[in-house]
Amino acid sequence: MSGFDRLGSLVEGTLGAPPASRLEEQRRRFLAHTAVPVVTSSRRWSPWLLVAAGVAVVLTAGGVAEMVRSKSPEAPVASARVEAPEPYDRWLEGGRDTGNVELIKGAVVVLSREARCRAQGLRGAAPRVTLEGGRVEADLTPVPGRRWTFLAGAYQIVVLGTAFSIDYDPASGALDVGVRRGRVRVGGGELGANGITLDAGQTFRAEGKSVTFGAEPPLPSSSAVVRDEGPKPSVVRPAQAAAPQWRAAFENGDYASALAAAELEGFESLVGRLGPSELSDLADSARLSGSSSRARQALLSLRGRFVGTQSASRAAFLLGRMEGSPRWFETYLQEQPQGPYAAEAAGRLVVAYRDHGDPGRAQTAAERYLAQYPTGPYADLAHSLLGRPRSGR
Amino acid sequence: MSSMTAPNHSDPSSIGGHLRVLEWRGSDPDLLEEVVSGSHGAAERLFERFAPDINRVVWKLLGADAEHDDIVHDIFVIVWRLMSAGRVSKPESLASWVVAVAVHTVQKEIRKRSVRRRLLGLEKPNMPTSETLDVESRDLLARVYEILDGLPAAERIAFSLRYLDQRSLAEVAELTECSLATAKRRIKRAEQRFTTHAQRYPDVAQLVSRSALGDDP
Repeated sequence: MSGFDRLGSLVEGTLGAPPASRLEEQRRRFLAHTAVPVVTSSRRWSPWLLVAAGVAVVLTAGGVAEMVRSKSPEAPVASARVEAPEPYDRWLEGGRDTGNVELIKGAVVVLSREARCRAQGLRGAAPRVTLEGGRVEADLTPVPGRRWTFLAGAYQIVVLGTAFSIDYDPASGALDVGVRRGRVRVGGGELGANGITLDAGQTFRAEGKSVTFGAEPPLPSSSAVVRDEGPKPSVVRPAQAAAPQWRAAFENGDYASALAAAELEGFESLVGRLGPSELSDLADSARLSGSSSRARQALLSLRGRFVGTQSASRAAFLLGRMEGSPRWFETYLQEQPQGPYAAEAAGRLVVAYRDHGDPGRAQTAAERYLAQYPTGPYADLAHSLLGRPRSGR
Repeated sequence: MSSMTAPNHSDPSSIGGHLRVLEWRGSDPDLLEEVVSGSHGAAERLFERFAPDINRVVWKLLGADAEHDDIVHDIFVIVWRLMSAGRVSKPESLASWVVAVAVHTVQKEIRKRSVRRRLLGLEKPNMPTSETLDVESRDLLARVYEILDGLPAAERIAFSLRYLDQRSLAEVAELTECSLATAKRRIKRAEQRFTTHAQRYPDVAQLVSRSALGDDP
């Protein structure tokens, strides 16, 4: 150990870490900061740009639904820079702002006569609409990196690219959400921070402590947003098939029901025809409901049918976790050396070789782990397998 | 710095007998998605995920600094703003990116303080203020960080990441966004300056004296 290494050890041992109480105060301060929209310096309001059809959002009273992020691991993560429109902060009233109102390019809303809402598009923040009451229907085109948030009462609705409705009655606090196309995520109120996901054809109602689910036919993708003169506008909806039952149960976190529904639908058939993200969800349903055999079947199908995809690599990692097998962790690391589970796979590989009674490979894996993750959670184990103290480098 | 573990679904809890709450599941790329989408609770998840990493880096680079919490807050604000604006190009390297933002912010703060000391000549070096230390330890830390205050910012950062935060050379290069050769050069220069300045304090000089003989890998 060099003198500077000793210096580092001395500082480590003497300085310690910040007290936990400071982190609580930091958290409070940061969350308070993110809860306040940042308004840039005064600028003239930009005219609303009509947003192309893609997502229609009807915002009804009281509830905010969170948008569900895309399930497809093959889809690129929305990391590309999106040119933000000019900041805007505008109040809309149904009695004055009639017909289709374009918030920004790609986002159109229609307000009921009694509706009143505030639409904000601020720098560095997702665009947001706060509904004070009434009904709003919106049609939003999905834009990479941009998602809309609708707030009503205690609820939050986040939308990716969807047609849905929200009815909010501030007097009773009742909230109705109906998804006609795409997917939304509803959170807050009785749902808690994480909330629930609603697919096309599903409805949600919250009234006081009571929340219920329902179903309604979704809209075709080409439907237009039409203002209804009545207090609760409705759109003609052609009959269409609801979302698969196993998916609905999976999204609700009821994995046992999801697996049971998948069995009724034909598990082998599903395994043979689902796309990578849905097959991954099916595998999770089986795994999290305790059916290792079905989980393994789904994960192996992922590996066989979607070679080279992130889903297939993730399947390798999960197979490794289920079986404790070194070969699956090695496979994942070969396919995704910089993947999101690479650090975990590298650490678990050390454990797997040790548990399989292969000290030579365990030490090799330990050397590799320490080279990449010298302070990772498996570092102590790696050092012990190599027979050297933690601080030795 | 490891990514979050694979999806972890706990048994969902029931609300009112009608709904089930989905627990957060996902890796760092998933967290990025949540922030970009403005998902409810994303800020809190971001804090939970990275508060330990950011606090650790700032604590080590500046010592138990009086402005530690302000600097940590500034870093979170920057991280939040950049993530929300879609400025993260490699979601799978989110953890490294966040720490790099923290390092960059601390480096700017170090430079600002150095300029203030040179121009105004009034401000004393910021001494570690941890109240949990005994007098002797506090004095030793104060001398170490006083010496570090005398180093050029880039060299101090590289040296501190290497020895105080115990990072590998590759990590130092990555977090300071320079080549491995540059990182090595900065660390070497910092070692030389530190050894020279440490002559003022025999206990510190004695501690690092062996490194002057070139035994550092």
